[in-house]
Amino acid sequence: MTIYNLYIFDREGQCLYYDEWFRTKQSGLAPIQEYKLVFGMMLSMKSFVDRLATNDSNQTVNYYKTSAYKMTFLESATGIKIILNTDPNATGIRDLLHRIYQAWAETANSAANLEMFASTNPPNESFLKSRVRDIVMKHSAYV
Amino acid sequence: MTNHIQHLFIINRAGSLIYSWEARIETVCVLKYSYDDSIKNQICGRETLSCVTVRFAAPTVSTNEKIILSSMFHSLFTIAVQLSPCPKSSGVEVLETTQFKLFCLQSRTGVKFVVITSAASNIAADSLLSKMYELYTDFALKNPFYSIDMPIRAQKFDEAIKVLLEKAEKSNGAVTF
Repeated sequence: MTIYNLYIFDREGQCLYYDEWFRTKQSGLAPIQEYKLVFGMMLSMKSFVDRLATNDSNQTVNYYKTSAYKMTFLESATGIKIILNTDPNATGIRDLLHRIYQAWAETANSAANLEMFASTNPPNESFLKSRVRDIVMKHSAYV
Repeated sequence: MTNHIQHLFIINRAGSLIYSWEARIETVCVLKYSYDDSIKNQICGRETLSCVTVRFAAPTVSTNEKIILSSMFHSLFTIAVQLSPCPKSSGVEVLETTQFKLFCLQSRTGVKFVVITSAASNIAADSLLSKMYELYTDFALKNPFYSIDMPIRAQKFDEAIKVLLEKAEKSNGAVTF
């Protein structure tokens, strides 16, 4: 089992954080273009599942899986979107995403300014990076 | 009996819809009221009627919308291949939301078979999809009047799909059909 890469987006679609571990194939796009593609795919997936919804209650996409990887989504109430690519058989990924979100929220708040909503400057990037790496590398799916 | 399979789509290699099936799940509710109810006459205007039957069903997806959904899924499928962090990935095989699960099988020729079930179902979708592929080759491709990539309109195919789905619903959770 493996954890490949992680994207964090704000509600406007700006990529605030990206990190990768065992990624063996690049998409062949410039990083900025790739972030846009990931975010755009997530948005159209949302509209796709909304059209198929059978009842009015709020619906969220949990994950999708291909033969080689699994992409798990988490969206916070404030519109922060966390996307993690793992091995298709990895378990406990939702829990991991919640912990990453928690680290994100704490780091953002400890910066003690509300600039976190101004998407251009991600809060305290190196500190966040070390925390996220710590959380991910301790997870059982990370080998 | 609860029906788990909600939709079934066959999408050709260009991303257009060539076959679709939709479950019609209805809940029938009978509302009874007593004779001295004052609104009785306002509703039905008849003294003898003492109950009203109401049918509830999930909102249906129009044919137009199904065509849009198919091409949308086709592009999502392709983007998923491009965004893969490791080589030799297929497109979307399973998509899970809080309301439903979607399973997809792409054949060697690029035809996609898509089944949408409720989130609670544990239908063996893999064998259902490969069985669908088998029916497609038997009843569409072997039909001399069928032209490739065109909508499938064959009564035999409809019947075979219906039988397959009934079987799949009954053997909920079983490995094969």
